Amino acid sequence: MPDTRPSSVRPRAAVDALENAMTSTSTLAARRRGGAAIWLAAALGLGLGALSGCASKQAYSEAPGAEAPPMYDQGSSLDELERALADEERRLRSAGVRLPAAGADLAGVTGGADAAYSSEDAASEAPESAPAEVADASTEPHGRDAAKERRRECSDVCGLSASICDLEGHICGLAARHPGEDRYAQVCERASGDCRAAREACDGCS
Amino acid sequence: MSRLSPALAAVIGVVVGGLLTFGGLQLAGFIAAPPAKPELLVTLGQTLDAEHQRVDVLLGKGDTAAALAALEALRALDWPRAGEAGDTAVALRHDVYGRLLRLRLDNPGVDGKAPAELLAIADEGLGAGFTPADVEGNAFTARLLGIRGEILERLGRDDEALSAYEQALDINRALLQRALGEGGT
Repeated sequence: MPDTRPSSVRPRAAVDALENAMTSTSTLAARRRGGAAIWLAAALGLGLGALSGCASKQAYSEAPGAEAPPMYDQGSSLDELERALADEERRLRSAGVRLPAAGADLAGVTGGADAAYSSEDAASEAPESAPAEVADASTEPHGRDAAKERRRECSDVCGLSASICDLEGHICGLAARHPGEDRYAQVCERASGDCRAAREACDGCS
Repeated sequence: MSRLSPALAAVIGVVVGGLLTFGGLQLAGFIAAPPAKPELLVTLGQTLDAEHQRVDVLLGKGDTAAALAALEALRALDWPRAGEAGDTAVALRHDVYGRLLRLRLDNPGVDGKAPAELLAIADEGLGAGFTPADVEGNAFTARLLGIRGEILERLGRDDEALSAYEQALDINRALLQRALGEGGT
């Protein structure tokens, strides 16, 4: 179905996340008044806590599902970009996203160079994707909360899915203009796999 | 040399231990460092929220030029740095610049600007020497990077466009991973 929403609206899921951040920030001043109590509580952990914290950091950053900041910038080499992409795909797989094996064909790729990248539109699609069973769960108060939370999660997943597929359209559009250039083809292939996997995650969100 | 009393030694030990505990947990990412000026972030957020609503109204009335002007005016803000107001302030800036550029790209006939000018705006919004590692991943930064890729494409700088798209894709992929992790989807 063609998307007729204006492209100038903002990514709703991201706006929600920002509002949450703003709400928590507004309480910071009050929290600071209780700073002494926090420090006292923290003191009870003594130095061993610091060691455990540092150890946790190492374990956290090495966990398959751990999120790491992108390890490249605009001057990164192709090898670096590919390593970063491979790392992310490994994390996605460990998070339960089914990614196709490298070398998978590009059948099913949607979008193209003309597709407008507008994650704000994508973020708005999620409510339409919320399955009927979510509404069924709203017959009890706690079920209503759970259903609302589930809708929010599906909104995030489906919004991100649409954004990823928009980017895939641009990337593969570029690749079509650069036939025979391995880098473009490889990135397009991976982006297509990411798009398919993200779309499946959205479709399966219930 | 006089020895410390046991009580004083215990107090010092507890305080030092507490500091190390807090520092360790913060280093591990389990305690988010609060912005130095949280009130600045709240003020900025409220200001931008009102401005975004104004832009919504202007767009609803079909006055794209006025909406563009309102967003352009926000560029002149004295934007706080991440050190002052946290990564959220940076995401807020990326939101404004992304919305401005999206609107310009979608309405080239209104106060048109050349692609080189649009690229300069995108780079201004991202900040000098920006890398994705500079800010916690968020959809606004991803959108701005993706738009930067579109502009680079228009300039024929395809290699750079591909890199920009990959940066945006990487952020969105990480966000999706996080969403799936939270929801167990």
